[in-house]
Formats: sequence, C-alpha cells, structure tokens
Amino acid sequence: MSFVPLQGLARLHVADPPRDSEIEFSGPQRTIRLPMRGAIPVLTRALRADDAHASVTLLSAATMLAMKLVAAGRVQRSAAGHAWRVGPMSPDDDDRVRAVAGARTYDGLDADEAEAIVRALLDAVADTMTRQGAGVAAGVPTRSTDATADHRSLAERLAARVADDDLPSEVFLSLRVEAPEEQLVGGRVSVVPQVHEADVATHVTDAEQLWASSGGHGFSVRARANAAVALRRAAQAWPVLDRLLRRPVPDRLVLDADELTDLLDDGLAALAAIGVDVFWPRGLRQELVPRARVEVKRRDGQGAPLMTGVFGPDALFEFDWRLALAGDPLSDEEMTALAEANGPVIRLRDNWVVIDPETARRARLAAGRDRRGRRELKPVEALQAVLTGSIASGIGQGDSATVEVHAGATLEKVRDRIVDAAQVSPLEAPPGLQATLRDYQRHGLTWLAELTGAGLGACLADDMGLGKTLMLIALHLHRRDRRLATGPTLVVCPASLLGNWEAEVRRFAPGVPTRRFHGSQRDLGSLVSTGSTTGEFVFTTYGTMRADHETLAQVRWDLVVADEAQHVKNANSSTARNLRLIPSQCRVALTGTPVENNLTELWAILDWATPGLLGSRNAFRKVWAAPIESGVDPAVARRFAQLVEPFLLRRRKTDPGIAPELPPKTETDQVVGLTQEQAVLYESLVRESMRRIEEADETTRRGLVLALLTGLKQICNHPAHYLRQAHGRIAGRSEKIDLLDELLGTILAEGGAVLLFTQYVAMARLLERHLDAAGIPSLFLHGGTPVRQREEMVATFQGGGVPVFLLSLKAGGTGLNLTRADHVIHVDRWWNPAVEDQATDRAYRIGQTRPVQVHRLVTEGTIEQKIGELLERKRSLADAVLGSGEVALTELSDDELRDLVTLRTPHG
Amino acid sequence: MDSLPADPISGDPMVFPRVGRVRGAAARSTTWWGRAWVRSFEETVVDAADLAVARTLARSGRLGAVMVLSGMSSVVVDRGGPTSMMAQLRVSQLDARAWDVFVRELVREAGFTAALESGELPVDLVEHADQAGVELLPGPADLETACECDAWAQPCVHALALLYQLAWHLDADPYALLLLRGRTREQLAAEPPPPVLLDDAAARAAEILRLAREAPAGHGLADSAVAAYDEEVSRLV
Repeated sequence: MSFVPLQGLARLHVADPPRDSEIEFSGPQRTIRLPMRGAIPVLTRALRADDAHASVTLLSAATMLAMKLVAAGRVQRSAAGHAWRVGPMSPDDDDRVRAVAGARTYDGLDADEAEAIVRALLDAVADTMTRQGAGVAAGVPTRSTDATADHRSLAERLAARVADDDLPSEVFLSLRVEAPEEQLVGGRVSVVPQVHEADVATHVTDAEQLWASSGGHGFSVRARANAAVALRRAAQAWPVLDRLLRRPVPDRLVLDADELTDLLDDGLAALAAIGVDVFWPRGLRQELVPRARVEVKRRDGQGAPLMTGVFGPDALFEFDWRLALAGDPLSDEEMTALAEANGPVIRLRDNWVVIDPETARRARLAAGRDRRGRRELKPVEALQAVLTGSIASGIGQGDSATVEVHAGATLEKVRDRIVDAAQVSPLEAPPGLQATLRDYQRHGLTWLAELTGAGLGACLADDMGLGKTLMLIALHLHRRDRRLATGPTLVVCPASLLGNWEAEVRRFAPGVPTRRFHGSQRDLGSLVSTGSTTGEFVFTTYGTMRADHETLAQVRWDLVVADEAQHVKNANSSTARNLRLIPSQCRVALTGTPVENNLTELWAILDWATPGLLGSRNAFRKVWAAPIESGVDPAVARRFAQLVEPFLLRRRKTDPGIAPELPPKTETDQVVGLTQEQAVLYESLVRESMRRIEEADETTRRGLVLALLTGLKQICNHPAHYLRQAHGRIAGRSEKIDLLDELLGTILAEGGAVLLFTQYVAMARLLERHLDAAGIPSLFLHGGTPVRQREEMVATFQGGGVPVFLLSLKAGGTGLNLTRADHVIHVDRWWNPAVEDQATDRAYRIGQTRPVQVHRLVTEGTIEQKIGELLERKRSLADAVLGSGEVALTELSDDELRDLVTLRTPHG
Repeated sequence: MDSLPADPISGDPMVFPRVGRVRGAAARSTTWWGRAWVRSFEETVVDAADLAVARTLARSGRLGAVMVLSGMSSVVVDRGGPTSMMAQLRVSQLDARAWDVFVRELVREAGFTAALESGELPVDLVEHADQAGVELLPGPADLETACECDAWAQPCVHALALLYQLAWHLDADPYALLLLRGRTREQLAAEPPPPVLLDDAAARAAEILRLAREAPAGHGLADSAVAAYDEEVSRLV
C-alpha cells in the first residue's frame, strides 16, 4: 500500500555516500522519510499525480533525468573513489539540468538552490542504481570502469594469495532479516545473507562484503567460493534464495508477502535443518499464542429443568478462541485486523509484527463468517475443558490441535469446587444423624455434598460394608439442615434391599418419615401435589420404577439415589431409560462393583448421574473408549481420568486409611420379606399348628412346638425347602435367595470369598443347586463329609479356587482354617444368635486375618425376627437356652407362643 | 617416440589416482559435459572398433594415475611386461582475452562459482560464454594425442583410454576441464571482485524508464496499482 504523501513539501537529505541519502515527504496526516531505494519508485511516478507539490515534481523530474543518464551509461566513479555519480556531463546534459531546476522553483527556493538539489539527486540515483560498492581495498588497485582485464600479473596475484592464506576460509551461512518501515508497509522484508567463520560464529560479515572488496572483512579469498557453495545449499533447501545466486553479488533479497509466508511456513524449517539460522529484528517476530476462554453464559431458563445447577442440561457455556500477544489477549478489533491482513506482516499495538501464517489462518477462521472462534459449548464440552485444561479448538481444517483453556471466573470457582470436593475440610455429621461417622465417611459425605451442591451427580463406589447407605442418609439430612433440599428423597434399589434401607433410615435417622412405593397398594399420596418438603425418604424397586415411572415423575424429587446402580448399566434397557425420566435436583449412584473397569458401564452410570458429562454413547466410544482400549495414546487415558475422577469415589476395605478404622467383624441384619407363596404357607402352618398345640397334652405339645418352629424357619428359607421339593423352581419364591444373589453379585465382582451358613443340609443342597444353575462354583461341607475331603476343600477355598463355601452349622469341628473369607452370610439362624456367632467365629477363624462382614438374613415380621427381640427382652431365657436352645422354647405358654409365631406384616 | 614438449606450466597439476578394474557398463559418463567431451573425441576416430578396445582398456585397471596440467594430460599404461608406456593429450588453451570473456560471464552470477565448487558445470555459463564467442568445451581440432606405443595413427587406443578416463574425472570435477583449457581453480578464485556491471545498471534504468511511461496516477492508500508499480520498480533499483 502506498501512502507516501505527495501534496506536501518534499526535502532531500544528502548523505555520503550518496546512496545513503533520504527524501522526506510531508503531507496533512503524516511525514515519511524514505531512503533512495524506497523513494525512487515513488518519484518515477510522481509526475503523473496532478496534485503533487512543486518540490515533489522537482525531485521527480531530476530522478527521470538521472535514469536517462544511467541508461546511457553516463556513470563514473566519484573523485574520492568510493561512490558513483553521473558523468561525464556533456554541455547538453548541463543544459537539461538547469532547465529542470529552473522550471520547478517554488516559494522559498531559487534556481541555484534548485540546481544544487537536482545535481545532488542525480548522484544519489546513480550511486543507488549501480548497486555495487565502489570500495577501495588496501594493497589492491581498483579496476577502471572500462577495462575488463586484470592488470596485475599472475605473480602479483599469487603473492597476494600467500598473505591471505592465514585468513579463515571455512564459513557457514546465516540470514538476517531487515524490515525497514517502507517495506513493512507493503508487507515486505529484506533478507541479507551473512557469512560466519566456521567455529568462530562471532566473526561475521555480510556476504556482500566478500564480493565487494578483497579485504577488510577478515576472510580469505577462498571464503567467497565457500560462501557461494553454502548459499547454493541454502537455495536447495529454500528455493526462493535462488534469486540471490543469479546476481553477481548475493547482497540482499526483497521478499514479498507470499515469499515471506513461504519462509515462515516451510523455509525456516528447511533452513534450520541444514544449519542456517534466520535472525529477525527485535520485536518483529512475536509469538501469538492461541488460548480459549470458557465461561458460563447466562441465559433465562424456560420450563422446569430436569437438573438445575451450573451444569444442568440447560446450561450454556461460551467458548472464545483468541490469540494472545505476550500473554495479553487480542481485542476483537485486533483479531479482525489480523484476519484481514494480506500477508504475514501486520501492525499490532503500534508495532510491526510478523506472524506465523498458520496462526493467521486460524485467526481468519476464528473471526470469519462462521464465527468459529466464538461459539456456545455444551456442558459436557465445558466440563471437559475446564477439568482437563485443554480443548480441541476446532479451528482449521481437520485441525484437532488442542488449545489451552482459561476458565472464566465463575467456571473457575466451580471447577475448584469440584476438583477439591474430596479435600474440602470435612463436614460434621448433620443434626438428626444417630451415628458416629468415621473419618472416611465424613469425607464421603463432604464429597457428596459438594458435588450435589454444584448441580452435579456423583457415583459412590465404595466396597460393600463401608457404609454407603449411612453416607447417603447423612447427605439427605445435610441437605435438609442447610435448606438445600427442594423435595423428598427417592431411593431406587433391588427389592431384596428395600427392608434394609428402611431399617437403616429408621436406625440412623429416627423421625424421618419413610414410605415404600412398592406392591399393588403403592401410593405416593401427598407427595405428588405441591412440592412437598417433608424430608421424606421414599423407597422403590427397579421393577416398580420401570413400570410406574410416570407416577414417580410427578414428584419434584430433591435427591434420587440409584442403589446397586449396576442394574442400570445397560443404558438401552427400559429400566435405565425410565430412570432418566425421573426429575431431580441431584442424583447419586451407589455401586459396590469396581465400575471403572468397564467403560461402557461407567458411561451408563455417569450419564445418568450427570447427564451429558461424557457425551453421547457413540461420541463416548469414539472419543474415549476406543482410544483408551487400543492403548495407542496414553495421554487419552490420562485426560479421561482427569475428567472422570471428580465424579467417582471409590474406597476399598484394604485402603490404608480405611482398614484400621474397620472392626474385624461388622454385622448387619439384612431384612427381607416373604413372598406371597411363603406368606400363605406360613399363615396356614401357624393356624394349623396352634390349633393342635392348644389341644395337645404336655408331651405331644413339645413335639408339635418344635415341628412348628422348624417348619416356620424352613418356610422363611424357601418354600421348596419346607415342601421338600428336590427339583422345584428356586428363583422368585424367596427373597432370601434374591438378596443372596445381590450380595453374591457384589462379593464376586469384588473378588471376595464368602462362607454361607445354614443349619439345614436340605437348604444347603437347595443353595448348591441354585449356585450351580447360576454358574457360581461352590463347596459344601457338612457333617458327613470325610476328613480328607474336608482338607482338600479347605485348601481349595483358601487357595482362591472357589469363592463360595457352604457350611452346615453342625459341621462344626475346630481347626478349619477359612480365613480367606471376607464375608459371612447366615442364611438362617440357630436359636441363640450370640452363642452361635462366637462358635462359628472360633470354629472358622473368622475375622482373624482380615475384616469380615457378617450378614444375617432375617425375614421381617416372622419368627426369625422375633426370636432375637425376645432374647433381648428375656436375658434369663437366653442363659437358659445355652447349649440346646430349642428345648427351652417349648416352655413358652400358648399365648407367648402365639405371639411369637403370628406373622407380623410390615407397615406400609 | 618423441613426447610432446610441454609449455611452461602455471599452477599445480591435478592428479587423479589410478582407477581399478571396473565391471560392466557402469563406466559411462554421467554428466552432460562429460558426454560432450566424449563426443568431441569420438568423432576423430577412424576405426570405430578402436573405441570399444579403448573403453575396455579404460576399465581394465591397467592405466595409472592421470595427471592434468594446463592444456595437457598424461597417463602411464601397463602393457603387461617389464616396460610401460605413456600416453599424452594436449588441449589447446583459451587465450587471455577468451578467459577474460569467460570470467566476465562467470562472475555474472554468484551461483556459477557455487556450482563449480559443488562439482557442477552450469549449462547457462557455458552457453553465455559460447554466445560471447568463447567455447569452453573443446572440439576435435583442439585435441592432439601422442603415445609411446607403435600405433601408426593417433589417437591410438591408449590415448583414447586416457580420454575416456578423463571423461569420468570431468564428471566429478569440472575444474579439470577448466585446467585443461588453461586456468587453475586458484587462479579463478583469485579473480578480483566482479567489476561494476554498468551494463546491468543501464539496462535496469532503461527498464524503469519504460515502466514509468505507464505509471499509475493515483496515490491513495488503497490503490493496488500504485503498490504493484512501486514493487516492480523497486526490484530494478
């Protein structure tokens, strides 16, 4: 772009040598000072501009005259011998000079002054046009302008060469970029080749010097040929340099915008590969670093969102791709200027800057029509960006280069909260919690509170027995205490665990209303109408939820908990789909299985807990699962871990912080209910037996009572057990079996080992059949098992060969080393629980080498539950039944007995 | 057999070590000037069969080191017995005026020297010199051979073998050709810096004048015609 003003005064500043002269052009807006090289083109055309100032036309006419003289060969050395000038001048030439001067005088300039200017300019043009220095070197006479033969004799030349032998000949090349203002304006720069002494890089001279004179630069004569060879190699690496070799003296090269782009794109690398450095003027080449800013975008919400909070699906985030100069992001105007630049040279913040063409291309894309540099992000993208600190910029064709992310202030706060959720100073147990939380449980509670508070879901995947239920109950109470809760809490769990949940809520949070939404009489009552904040705990099963999600969806739940969340690991199942339709403020998934090992399951669970976090299933497969599983790029696995870590908390029993806090034995009563079939059997047996017992005499009575009690226990186990069905259907007829399946599922997934105790061999056989059908290997040891076989079984179990060991209680015997078990399940109970426990622990060395979880399956409302309660009430009776327990029970009165055996249905 | 008198020699000789036995046809000349050299002497041979014999001899390993001096080259040939014989070549050298013309063309482009130093004889250089009346590559008339063998016509097969081997050496180092024509590498390197090419400046000035006749008139900021003009002229300045 030419912006040299021609309307104002132009002044010639003469210098010595004349080629260094400069011309100053002034105008209304600016004044520019150009060297001869830059001024000559302007002056050759200035005569065409009709509004040019008189001083300009004077210089212009002088320039044209100078050109004519040079074209005619009228150039000679100056008197001092170091420059060129016009001459010899004929009288006609002098006339012309005076004519030019006289015709263009102006105010403040007379003819003589004008003539002086003209003559000075003629010499300046001549000196510039001849290009070569006319320098004098010591000891070597210069050639005359006409002679082409060297006047020195061969001998003289050879003599000169001997002195030169001490000077260095081996050289290497570098390039120096010069960027005078007038060139930068046109998007151009100059490149000057430099020659360095090999091994003494500080001895450097412009290549021009090796040709222009034969001394003074400190290099031998041979250095010139070596420099030419070096330049040839450089031109092979970057062909634009070839132009230099076409000149007699490779002095400098002017690059236009395209050539400069080519240098930046390819040339620099190619030259660097052969050891040619390129030096830039200070400040000219600055790095423009791309950064992306991600921030929450405020928008008025419409309709009730499924999940509120910063990361709800209605949330919007902004992505703003910018270039930063020296750490300072460019403004919109600067980005536009950058995008509109024609070449790599632009003016940015009062400085000329040469930018990398690749960066400029991306800036153009960012600022272009599509405005790809600024766009909205989905929550998943924003979360990923802010957690991993980088994002795929999407700027540029197939450009998957990740760019650094700077989170906006709001997002930064949220990110900090999420990442540090587990390290935030632990909360105190909320009021209303009847339990002491262990340290790791307080951390778990704090973590849950932080995530749910930010509107994000969580997946708590602690080992079984660490108290997930307790932590959830604490979370529920916490949200109420801090007035964060906007509705009741819904727990979705397997049917076999319903009783357990209810029991634990009643135990740890007494006073909190609970309700079961299950069975044909289920009803949500007042919860459905207005947003109730009663702080109620509602339990439902996966089956009920699947069938009746529409009813459930009518309640504005605060917290929805998916217990044993591996039940929704298949995202396509109607269970999983319907679960997603239930609205909530926040969601927590609980699971005991190591979910991080299976990425598809992990996706299903986290996608429910925090929808959109990991993207669609296909996107997830493509972006994360496939690359991680192929293992080609470990960085992907690292980034994924960074993304997922804040949302997944998993502690193991064996963790150093946890194990010491666990007692050697933890006992849990797992409460289950009766199936319809069992209830019918139970009630009819009671009715039948009580009638006969009341009518019986003393001796028969004892037998009848025993038969009754035994029968009831068998019914509680399984109808097939009581009915002596050796081949009947097992599944679905007893909740104890269902619960057993749940527990075993988790235990086996953890890689644990379990002892199953029952007092009945028939029940053990039934269990064996059931396990066999499920493909679970088991060992069964009973009274009749031969000794050698016992030893083999124990060895197999201890060696990890089989995970399930069935034992009949009476198998007894001390010295059975089954310390590998970390779980014990009492499928049914003997008469005195405390005594029985001690016996089993001793006999089987339970809890001696590792913490053990003991589960006692207790059928609600039945004799199993009542015996325990009875024993607590009547200590004397407890003492009395030491040893042969059942005998004492026969001493109960009819009423007491009836009380004991009547089925108590659970309240809804 | 009289050996040819040698002129007073200037500069060091170039000595090319003996070439051992070469198998197959890999001994063809690979460069354009090597091939031109071969063409120039093959024309002088009466009996084409001699060429085949000479080529075999060149590949046989029986030729010793080849010496090259200004205008001359020689080699010793092992004849299989106790005695050996020497074959010689004389090339007419370019005179001082011709060398001045050649050097003037040589210094017109820095790339020419660079090419020579890199083992390449630039075609453009030879053509420009040719156009200026100086033929670097010798023709048949410029070559004269002698040998200590008893062949009744020259070039004999030994001299031809020498010529073939010289073609290989020229392939590798064109300075050998320049030496045969009368100038050493050092002499060429010691040439003073190129004179101011006044012709060049005059030509450029004339071109500028021509361009100026069609110069655009505007001088606004966004005038691309003006920018293009300025750029073109500045390349000639």
